[in-house]
Amino acid sequence: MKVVSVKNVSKFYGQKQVLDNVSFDIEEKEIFGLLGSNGAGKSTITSIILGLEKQSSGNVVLFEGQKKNLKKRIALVPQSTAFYKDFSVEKNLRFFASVCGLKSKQIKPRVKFLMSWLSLEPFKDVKAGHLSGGYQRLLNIACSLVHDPELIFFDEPTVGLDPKMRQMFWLKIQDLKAAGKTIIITTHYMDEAEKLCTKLALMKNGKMLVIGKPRELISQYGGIKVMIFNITGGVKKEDIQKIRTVLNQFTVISRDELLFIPFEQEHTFEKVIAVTEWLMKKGYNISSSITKEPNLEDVFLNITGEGMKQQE
Amino acid sequence: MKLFDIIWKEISLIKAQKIAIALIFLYPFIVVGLLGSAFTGVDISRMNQIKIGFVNNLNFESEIVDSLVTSYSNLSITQYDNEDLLRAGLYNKQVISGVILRGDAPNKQLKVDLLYDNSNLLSSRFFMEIAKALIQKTTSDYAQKNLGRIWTTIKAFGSNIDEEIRNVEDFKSQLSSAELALDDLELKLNAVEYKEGDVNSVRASFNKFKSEYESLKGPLAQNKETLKKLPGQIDEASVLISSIVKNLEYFDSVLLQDSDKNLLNEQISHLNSINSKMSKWKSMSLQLITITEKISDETSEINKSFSKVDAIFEKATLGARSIEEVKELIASARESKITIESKLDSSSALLSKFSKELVEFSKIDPKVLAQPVIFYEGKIYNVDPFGILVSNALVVVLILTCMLLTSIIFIMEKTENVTLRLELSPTSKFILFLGKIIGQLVIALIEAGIIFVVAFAKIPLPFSILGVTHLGFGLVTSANLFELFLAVVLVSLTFICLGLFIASLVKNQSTAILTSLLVIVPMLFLSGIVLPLEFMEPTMQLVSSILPMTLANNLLIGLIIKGLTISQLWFEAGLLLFYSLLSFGVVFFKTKL
Ligand SMILES: Nc1ncnc2c1ncn2[C@@H]1O[C@H](COP(=O)(O)OP(=O)(O)OP(=O)(O)O)[C@@H](O)[C@H]1O
Ligand SMILES: [Mg+2]
Repeated sequence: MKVVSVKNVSKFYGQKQVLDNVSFDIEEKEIFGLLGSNGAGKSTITSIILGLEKQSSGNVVLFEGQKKNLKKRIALVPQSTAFYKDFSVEKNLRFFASVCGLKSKQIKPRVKFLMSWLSLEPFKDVKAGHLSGGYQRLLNIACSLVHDPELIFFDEPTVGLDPKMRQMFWLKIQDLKAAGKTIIITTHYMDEAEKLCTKLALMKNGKMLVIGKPRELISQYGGIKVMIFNITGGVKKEDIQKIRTVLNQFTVISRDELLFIPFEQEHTFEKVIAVTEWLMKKGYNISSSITKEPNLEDVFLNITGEGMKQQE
Repeated sequence: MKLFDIIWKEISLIKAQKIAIALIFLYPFIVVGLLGSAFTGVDISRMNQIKIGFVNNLNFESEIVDSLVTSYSNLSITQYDNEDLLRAGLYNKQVISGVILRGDAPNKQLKVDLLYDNSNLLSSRFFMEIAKALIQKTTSDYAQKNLGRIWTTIKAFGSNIDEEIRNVEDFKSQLSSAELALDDLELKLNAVEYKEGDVNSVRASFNKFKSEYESLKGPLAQNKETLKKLPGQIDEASVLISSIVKNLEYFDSVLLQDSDKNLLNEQISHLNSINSKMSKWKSMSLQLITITEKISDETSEINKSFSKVDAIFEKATLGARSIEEVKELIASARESKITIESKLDSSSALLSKFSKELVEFSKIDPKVLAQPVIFYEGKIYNVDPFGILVSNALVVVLILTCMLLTSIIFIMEKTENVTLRLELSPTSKFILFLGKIIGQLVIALIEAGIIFVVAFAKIPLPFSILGVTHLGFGLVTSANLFELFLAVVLVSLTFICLGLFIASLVKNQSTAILTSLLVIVPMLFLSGIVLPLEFMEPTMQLVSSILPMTLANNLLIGLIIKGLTISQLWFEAGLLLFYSLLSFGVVFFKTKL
């Protein structure tokens, strides 16, 4: 089932075009990642899907056009916390459960479940405002999920969290996927997107640049690997020229003790061996070496064009 | 430097709050401007707003009444025929305070009933004080005038009395000198009892007699001998005449004619009468002879007495002169008596005038001079004056709590993103607003309940704290409690909706508070709670009369003090409901939820 179907959506704020003919579909049980630099239009399209904003043109179809109880099937976990700071954890959850249409009998077990699932049980009587930042974010998720929605939007869910908490968030999101939920995440963290998302969309200046599975995107747009050798005393200039001929490629760069050698993905292995052998034969002392694999970040930088600027 | 940076930071932060900064600078202009334009002319030109009604129950002419009407002509003073009409005028606000003049007599203490409208306490008491001051002034002027009259009278009497005392002293000395003079006079009168003039005239006739006597003396002596011959001669003549008669009688027989006989008889009788006269003459001459004899005999004696009489006359003249002197003395004594009398007359006139004035003054009750007027204050609605405070307190407290709390919480929900969550929730916007408004209403009702408990309760304290012996005010009102409840709900609802409206316009709590206050404070001043409405420009009075706060205040005053029902206060109630629905409607359709 196409949970979300966005077709040719454009949005103007006055004269300013924020979304330019954006189209994409999100299937059931997908974790859909919306990537894009700041101001790309991620929040805007999210708002339009949620019905918080109206598109200037184009249309959005949810659950293949089923309108019944739409609001009960959708949830947003906003980036900044949204609950009553003066209410206790439990009171917040109970209130939002009630507002989201749960019957009074359903509220108690649901709240209990969410608290234990998100490790909020020990803080149930603590005022929300007194929770640490991380737990406030957990409560924020809990508040959004009181009505057990099918489609969940996470807006930059892990910003400002410590690594342990991030891991936990990821686990929880995967729990949700396992429970059959469809999830849309906007994020700036490429590792997060790569790890979590089953599908990614990359936006820039209101335009949808690419959509695809993470692997596909990396192999398609991730570009080259880079081998970096740390050589004691550095490499002589004439030797660099020789390495170029050995490898039959132009780009070999030396900076102080570091030697950068980019590779096409297919020939990596042979070339690494060749260079290593040649250097050792020449009597260079390789103190360390690493290979940098292309990842989503490279995809991002390459596609948005911002990576090129950095390399120059 | 650090401090400077912190100061600059603070100012910059304030500067960043665009609406706040606008309010900070607009606020004084708005408040001062609004109040300024509303109350420009709390001066003479506004005095005609001071509407005072009065009833003259004095059954005598009083200048107080006249001066009340004339000398304060710039006030709007209306005279009513009786108290009922005055009260009616107060009820329908033709006049704002009332004065009833009572008094038994012109010079008795004036009694004044002051009536104030305790549903319009501020203006009414204010105007009542003005009326009171006016009456106090005219009556004390009157008392002062009386006192002045008494004072000038006493002063005039005081300066005259010195002269009176001098006059009396004069009178005394004059009397004693007159007494001496009269003593003298007494002596002199004892000696003499005649006048010099009498003496002189007597003396003159005496002297005339004396000189005639002297002049007679010589001829008498000379003719003495001739006189002695006179009787013999008379006898001779008489004999002759008798012989003639006899001869004539002879002729009678001779004469034939009767006419001749008659003529002869006539002659004969004529001669007979002469003869009888001759005999009288003879006796007279005989007497004259004897007198002449006597005069010549007593001559020496008369002469002797003449000199004696002269001496007597001398003395008599002296005596008469003394009498003149005494008369003069008496005359002068009479004159001084007259002056003394006239002086005494003026004194007595003065005294009688003074005593008359004292009688006049005695009619003036001394209390009038000390305290010319006694005031009795009364309210036209039979509810304690602080009843209005209950209403005012309710309105002020409700507007503050309802508006501020509602707007603060509405903004808080917005800034804490809860609004976003609620917007996404399946609960309808109407239910969300309804819940919000009812929640606020509950707080407002609790608030109002506390005020009512304080107002209605009167719990004696076991001991007095700072002179307070009771808890609560013991307000008694004829208001229907259910209607009162409805009114409080309506008022709260209006303020809550206004709070929502303000909150929907602004972005953060501080601006919401500032904006709310910007609305509340001028409204407070224009609602008649703080300043008397009657001093406002008429157009501003009109504006004021449709301000929610004024309406709320009037509604509650109508119920609590005037004992009206909500249906009688349909204008206030209706307009409040209209404001609620209008602001709620605007917020409802403006807010995405
Ligand atoms: N209410 C608005 N009025 C005018 N412009 C807006 C409004 N909301 C967003 N924008 C503009 O639309 C563009 C897209 O904003 P959006 O918030 O969708 O970006 P984003 O991809 O979510 O960015 P970020 O990653 O920083 O959250 C931005 O340039 C932003 O300035
Ligand atoms: Mg965003």
